[in-house]
Amino acid sequence: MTPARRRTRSSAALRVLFAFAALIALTSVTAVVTHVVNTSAGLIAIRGGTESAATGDAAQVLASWTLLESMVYRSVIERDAVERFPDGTRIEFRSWLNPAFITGGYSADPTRTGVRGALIGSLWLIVIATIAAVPAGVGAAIYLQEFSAPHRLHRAMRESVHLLAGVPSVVFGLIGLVIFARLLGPLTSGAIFGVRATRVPTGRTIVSAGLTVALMTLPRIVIAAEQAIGAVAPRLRLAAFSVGATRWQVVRDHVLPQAGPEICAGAIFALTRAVGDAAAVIIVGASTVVLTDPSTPFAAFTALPVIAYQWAMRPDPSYRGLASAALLVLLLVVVVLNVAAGVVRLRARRTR
Amino acid sequence: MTQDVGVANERVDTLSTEELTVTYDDIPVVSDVTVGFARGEVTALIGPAGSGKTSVLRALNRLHDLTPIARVHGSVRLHGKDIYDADVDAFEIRRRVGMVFETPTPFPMSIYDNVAWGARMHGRPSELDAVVEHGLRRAGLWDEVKDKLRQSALRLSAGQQQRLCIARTIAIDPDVILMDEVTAPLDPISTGKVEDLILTLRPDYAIVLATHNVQQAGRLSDRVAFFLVDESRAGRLVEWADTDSVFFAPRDARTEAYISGRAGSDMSARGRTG
Ligand SMILES: Nc1ncnc2c1ncn2[C@@H]1O[C@H](COP(=O)(O)OP(=O)(O)O)[C@@H](O)[C@H]1O
Ligand SMILES: [Mg+2]
Repeated sequence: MTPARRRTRSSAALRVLFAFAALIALTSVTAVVTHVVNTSAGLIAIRGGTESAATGDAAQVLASWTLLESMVYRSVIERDAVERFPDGTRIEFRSWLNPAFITGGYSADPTRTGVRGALIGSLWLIVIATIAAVPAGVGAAIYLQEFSAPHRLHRAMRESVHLLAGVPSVVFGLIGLVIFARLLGPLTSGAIFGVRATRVPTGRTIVSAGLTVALMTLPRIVIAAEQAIGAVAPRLRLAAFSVGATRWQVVRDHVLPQAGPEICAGAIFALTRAVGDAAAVIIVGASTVVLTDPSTPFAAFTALPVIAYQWAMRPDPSYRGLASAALLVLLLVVVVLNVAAGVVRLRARRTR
Repeated sequence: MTQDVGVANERVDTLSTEELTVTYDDIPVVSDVTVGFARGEVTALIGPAGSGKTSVLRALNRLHDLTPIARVHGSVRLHGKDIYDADVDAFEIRRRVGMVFETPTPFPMSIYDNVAWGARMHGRPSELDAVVEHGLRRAGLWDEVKDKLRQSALRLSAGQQQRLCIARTIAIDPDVILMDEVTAPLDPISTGKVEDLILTLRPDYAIVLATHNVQQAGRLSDRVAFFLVDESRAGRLVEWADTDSVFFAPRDARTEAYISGRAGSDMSARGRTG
């Protein structure tokens, strides 16, 4: 058999494998999204809560049905509910994801509670992690790719970066708790700066969580930036060096502008992964209930995946829908970020 | 008038090598090259592909520093000073020994910035416009681009791009210009323009032109250095002499074989101006 033919055959096998993997990935993503959407709206049997929240008359959701059930068996559900829940019970259609849900603050009434605090918390985390991780990650990648000679230490550093990228987020959470919340507590609680935003003067604040997310994101940013920098044509570098440029000038004027969009896209991708993670943030100290929106980085906080997790754990049927709605908001944030990454990439490709 | 007559005839090399050897992963690909390049001369490095022309060129401006597996042995002297000495700044060497590559490699910037980028790092900012214009004029490109200096250089034709690369080298005001197969990817008309350009630049620089095109070496060069891979599988400098003697009275049989095999007897196109 000629080498060429062997290559064709193995590449055909690879293609089948890839297609299979893609099919599995696509199926599971579709299943998850379908489930979340299906449970985020539907018929509910509800009692009370018709007046304003001020009356203290909290609504009680007695039962809920998924979107699919509600559409297919609407009449059956309504007939059943009248028998199961006599007097005072209404059957109504509810989308747990609605404008008031996104802009609303915390409430003990599940029909009135909102996700605003968690959304703001997640946005804070993104901002802090971006500020902390992107410069450090890109700097490390530039150093590894452009300045360090490929000796053994260099290999060891690169290997350890890859290793770190695979460390479970729980571990990062513990590291963050020990270092940022405890060791650097005076700093991260804002006490040193005279800020008293936290109810308890500990370092379990947004900064600590943001720095933990940054730590979690860092290895992935380094890897993405290294790839982007490595993809810059070597002959462009040689040409720049050949007019007497220093390494730094070549990096600043040629390597970074060329690799920038890919670095940006890679960083956004890494950040979206981290912002969807609950474990680390819970360990560092995301609160169960945040009554006031975090207004400084030294505030107590919660985040979208955390609140979704907590709601999903509650036995009350109404919280199943709330958890799904919170997850949809999280997915929305992720989609927006990824679209931004895609736009950056496309733009750069077009102008090149 | 006290000078010895013999000294007056001696060539003063701007750039010279002694026992230059280049290794990749400790395997020599070109060995023991002793050669010199003088201002006002075009020296053609000829030889089949793989004979080490590019490796020699890159040793002359310390470009091998950027390739971790590459090592340079022997000495390379610019105005008598070894450029591999510990106290020498490689970046300064690359400014004084400019290089143009086989593939036109304009920066993904405007035409103006392509020429200005290198010059800006070395000259005075107030003179930048003049330096850019001078570079483009000397590269014979000014009339073609003077109305679109802000346009991306990537929209120029390959031949224009290559002349732009020469302009950007001129703009850093080097003493030596290294050219590695600069016409190889160009069409005949663009090749002609670049060849004419090389001849107009000849008086002011020491030009080293690597080419596998023997006719081109004949047309353009004052001196020829012929490289060939020997039985140890490393490139060797077989012959280094005036172009005339290499073409018409080669000392080595291998030179004669290479010249006659590739060039035939067509020497009529030689565009010597001196
Ligand atoms: N970066 C490199 N690593 C390893 N070998 C190389 C490298 N560059 C060139 N070579 C080898 O060195 C030899 C000489 O190449 P080169 O200097 O490019 O010759 P020429 O320019 O005359 O074609 C060739 O055998 C080539 O394969
Ligand atoms: Mg070559």
